[in-house]
Amino acid sequence: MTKSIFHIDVGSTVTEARALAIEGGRIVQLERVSCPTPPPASKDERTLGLGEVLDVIGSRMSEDKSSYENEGVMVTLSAGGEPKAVCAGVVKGISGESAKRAALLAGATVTDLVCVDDGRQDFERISDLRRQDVSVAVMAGGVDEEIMESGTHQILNIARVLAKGLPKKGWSDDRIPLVYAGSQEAREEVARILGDIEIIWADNVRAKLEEEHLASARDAVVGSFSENVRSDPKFQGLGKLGLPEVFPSGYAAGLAFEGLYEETGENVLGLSLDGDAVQVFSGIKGVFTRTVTPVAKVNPNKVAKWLPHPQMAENLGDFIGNLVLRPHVLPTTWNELSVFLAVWKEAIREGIAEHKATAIELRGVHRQRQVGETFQVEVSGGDTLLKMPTLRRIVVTGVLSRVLSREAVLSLVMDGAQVAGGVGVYLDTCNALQVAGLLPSGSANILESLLPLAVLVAPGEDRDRVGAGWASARLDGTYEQLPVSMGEITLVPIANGSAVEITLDPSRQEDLGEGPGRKTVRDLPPGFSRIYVDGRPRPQLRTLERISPREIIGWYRNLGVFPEQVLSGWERGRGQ
Amino acid sequence: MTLYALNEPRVARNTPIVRLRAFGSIGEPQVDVGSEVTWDTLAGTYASRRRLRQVRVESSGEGFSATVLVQEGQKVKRGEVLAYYSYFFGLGYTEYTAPCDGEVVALIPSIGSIAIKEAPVSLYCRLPGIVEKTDEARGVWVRTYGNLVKASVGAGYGRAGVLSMKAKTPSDKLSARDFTADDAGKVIVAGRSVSKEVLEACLRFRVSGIIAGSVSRGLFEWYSDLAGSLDWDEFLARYWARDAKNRDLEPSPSEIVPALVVTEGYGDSPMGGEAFALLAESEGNPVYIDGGGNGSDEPAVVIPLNGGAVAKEAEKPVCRLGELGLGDRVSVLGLTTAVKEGTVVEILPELKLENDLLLPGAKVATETGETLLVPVSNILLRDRG
Repeated sequence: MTKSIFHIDVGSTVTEARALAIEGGRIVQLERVSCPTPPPASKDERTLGLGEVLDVIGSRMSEDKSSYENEGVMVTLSAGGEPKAVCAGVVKGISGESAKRAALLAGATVTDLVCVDDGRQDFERISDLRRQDVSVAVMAGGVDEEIMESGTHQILNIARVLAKGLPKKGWSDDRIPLVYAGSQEAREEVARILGDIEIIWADNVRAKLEEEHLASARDAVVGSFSENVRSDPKFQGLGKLGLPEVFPSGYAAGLAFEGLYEETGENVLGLSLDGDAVQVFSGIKGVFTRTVTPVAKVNPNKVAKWLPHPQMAENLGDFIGNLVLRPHVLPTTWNELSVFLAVWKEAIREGIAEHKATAIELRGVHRQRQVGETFQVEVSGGDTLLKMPTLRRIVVTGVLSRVLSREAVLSLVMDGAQVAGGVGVYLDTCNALQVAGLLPSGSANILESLLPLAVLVAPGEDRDRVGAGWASARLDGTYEQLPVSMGEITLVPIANGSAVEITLDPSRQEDLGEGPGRKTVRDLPPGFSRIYVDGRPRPQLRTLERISPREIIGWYRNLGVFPEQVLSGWERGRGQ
Repeated sequence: MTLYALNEPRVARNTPIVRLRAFGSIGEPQVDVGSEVTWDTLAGTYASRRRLRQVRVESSGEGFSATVLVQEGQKVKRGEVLAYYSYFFGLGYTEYTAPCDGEVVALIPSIGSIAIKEAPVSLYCRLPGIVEKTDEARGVWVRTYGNLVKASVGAGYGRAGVLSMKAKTPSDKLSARDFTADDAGKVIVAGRSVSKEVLEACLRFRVSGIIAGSVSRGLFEWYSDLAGSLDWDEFLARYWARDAKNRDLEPSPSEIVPALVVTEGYGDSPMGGEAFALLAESEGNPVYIDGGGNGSDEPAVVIPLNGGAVAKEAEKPVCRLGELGLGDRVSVLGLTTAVKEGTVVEILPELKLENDLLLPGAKVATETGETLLVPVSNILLRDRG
C-alpha cells in the first residue's frame, strides 16, 4: 500500500489541498482541490476554505482507500505575507542585513529594518515600529567578544528603541516576541533593557565579522511563528486540522532548495510566482538566500517595453493597479495575457535585481590587501553571489507556474531572469518543493519530482561568441554545433528526451563558473525535450533600450507563446 | 467538481461597524473606552511627524544678526513674528514668522536657528458611537451602527459631511464646473470617475470627500502624494479660492485634503449599482468617509443610523466562502474591463479561455444579455440562486 501525504498550503490568493504520494523517491500528485483565500485588506479570517478543501480531498481519497494510506498532514502558510517581521541591527550593511536575511530565510516578509544608520531619529523609529502589524522581531548586532569593555555599545541603543517600540500582537495585549541573534556578551544587558518582552535566544548571526550563521535565528523565527499562528484569529481555521505544525511556505520551499543544492552540489535559482509577489531563492556556493519582491513595485515605463503593441501601454497603469488590487484575477484574452506577461517579466527582473543586492559576499570583513592593490579604492564585500553564468538550474514554482502555458513560463524565465551560460529549467507542477522541504532528509528525490521543461543556452554578455562555435551539444551520441544567431531564439529539439551534454566555450573574458575563458561542460539528465539557444544582445535586454514591439513579437513567435494569427494581428497594428 | 468563490460583501446595511480614527504619529487618546462619542468629540491629540521645526534667521556665526523677539519656553502661534532683520540702512527688511503653533524650545545663535516644538494635532471622531479601544500608537477605535460601502482604493483621511448626489446615475461624469463654494464640507457622489480638474475643484471649494466608481492610477498616485504632503500654507498658496471663507481657521492636517473613495478600482468604470443605490437613499444625511490614510482601515463610507447605537440583532458583514452553483448571482472581475454582474448558467470544470488557458470556470449570463466564459478566480459570489 502506497503512503500518501496531505499537503495544505494557505497561499496569498489560493488555498490548495493536495494528496501526494512518494513513488520511487518521486513526489507525485494524486488529487488537488483549491479555493480562494480572502484578501488581506478585508481583515477577515484567511483560513476560511481549509475545512472545505480538506473534506473534499479526504472524501476523494477515501474512495481509493485500498491503494493509499494517509500518513500525515503538512500545513504551510503564506497568506497576507505571514509571518511578518521587523528586523534590527547595528549597522545596516552588516548585522542589519544579516538579521534581514535570517528572517527572509524563515519565510518571513520584512516590513522594516531599524539600524543606527537608517537616517531616522529614535522617536521616529519608535513611532514607526509601534504602528507595524507584525508577528515577530529579529535583532542582531555585535560580534561575540570584547564589545562591551567600555560598558556601552550601539546594540544597547537599538535594544532601548525596541523596548519602547515593539508593537502588541494583533490579538492580545502582549508584545510580539523578539528573536535575539546578536552578541553573546550583550545578552544580559539586552535582557534587562527589554524587560518583560519575550526573548527567544538564538546564536549570533555574525559571531565573527567574517562569518554568517543564519540557521539558528531562522529556526527561532519559524518556531515562534508555529507557536503563535494558532492563537491569531485570522488563522483560526487551522484548528480544524488537528495539531499538525504549521510552517511558513517560504521556509519550506527554502529548505527544498537547500536539499536540491546538497543533492546535486550545483548552483540553483528558484522563482516562485504567486499572485502578488515574486519570491527568489538561491543556493550558490553553499549560501542560501530568499527574497520577496511585490508585483506592486514594477515600473510601468519598463513594463511598457515588453509589450508587443504600443497601444497596449495606454491603460497600463490601470491594469497594474487592478492586478495589485485583485492578484487572484487572471487574464482572459490574448491582449490581457500579453500585458500580464509583460508585468510579470518586469516583476521577475525586479526580483532578481533585489536578490542580487541581498545575496552578497559579507560586508565588514577585514581583508588583507596585496601590494598590487595599494592604489585600488574598493570597498570590501558586497559583491553579488548571483552571477547568471554560474547557475546550473532554475526551478519555477508557485500558482502562476501551474496556470500559464509552459511556453509562457519559459518566456518569463528567459526575459525576466535573463539567463546566461547553460541552465536546465524545471517546473514544480504539484508544489512538490514545499513538501520535499518538510520531509525528513533523503526521503524524496527533489530533482526527480520536478518536470524538466527546457534547456536554455545563451552567451549572455559574451558578444564575441554570438554566431561563433560557442556551444555544442551531444545529442543521441553525436556532437552538434548549437546555432547562436544574433537577436534570435532558436529551438533545437531533443529526440526521446535523452540526456544532453552541452559544451560551452566562452571568450577569454567570460567566466562560466570554471574561471575566465575556460571551457565548461553541462551534463543534463534525461527528460528535457528541447534546447533554446538565446542569441539576443544582453545590453539591450538589460537596459530595455531599443527593444521594438516587432522584436518582442519575433521572440514570442520563436517560443510559440501566442498563436500566429494573434501575432500577425499585432504586427498589422491591432493592439486593442 | 466543486468550485468555490468568495462572497465578500461590498455593501452592508444595518450593521455594526468599527472604524479606527488613526493618529498620524504617537499620540494621546482623549476619550475612555466605553464612552459615547459624537461627530465633534475630540478623539485624541498626536505629535506631528516633524515635531521640531527650525527657522533659520540671519547670523554672524557668533550671534544673531537679526533681532529675535521670542525667548525659550515661549508659546507661539502660526504666523507670529519670531525675528526681523533690517539691512542696507533700513531699506531692506526681512520678517521671520512661526511656521506652526508650538513652543520655542531652543535659540541657537551660532547657526541662527530658532527651534519650535510643534503643538500636538487634534483628531476628532467624525462619527458617532462608542469607543471600543484606544492605543497611543494607533489611535481610537469607534464602534458605530449603520450602512457601509466598502471601497477598493482610497486616499486622504477620515472626514465627515452631508452626502450630496451630484451624479444622477452610476455612469455620470462630473466636470469642475459642477462644483461651487456651496459644496464646502459636503461628501460628493461623483458617479463614474473623477478627473484632475474635479479633484482640484474639490480642493478649492473645501469639499470633505468624493466618492467615485473609478480613477486612473496616475491620477490616484498624484492625489495620494498630495494628501500626504499638502500643508495649510501650501494649500493657501495653490488652491485657496476667494469664495471659500475662513482663510484664517487652520484645520488639522488630516482635514486639508478631501478624502477620495473609489468603489470599483482603477480605470474608467461606473460605480457599482448596489453602492450607488445605498448612497442615493442616504442623500442629505451626514456620513463618514475614510480614504484609509495613516494606516487607519480599508477605505469606506459609513452612514451612521440610530446615532451610532448598535441594534441588538445586528450582524457584522463577513467574507464567506461558497460553493458555486447554477443560478447564483455573481460579479465578474476583469483586469481591463469594468466589474459585471450576472448569473451562473453553467459550471465548467475545464474551461478553455480565449487565450488558451485551461482552468475551472463558469458560463455567466450578464444583465446586458452577454454570455461570458469566466475562470473561477475572476468570480465573486453575490447571492445564492
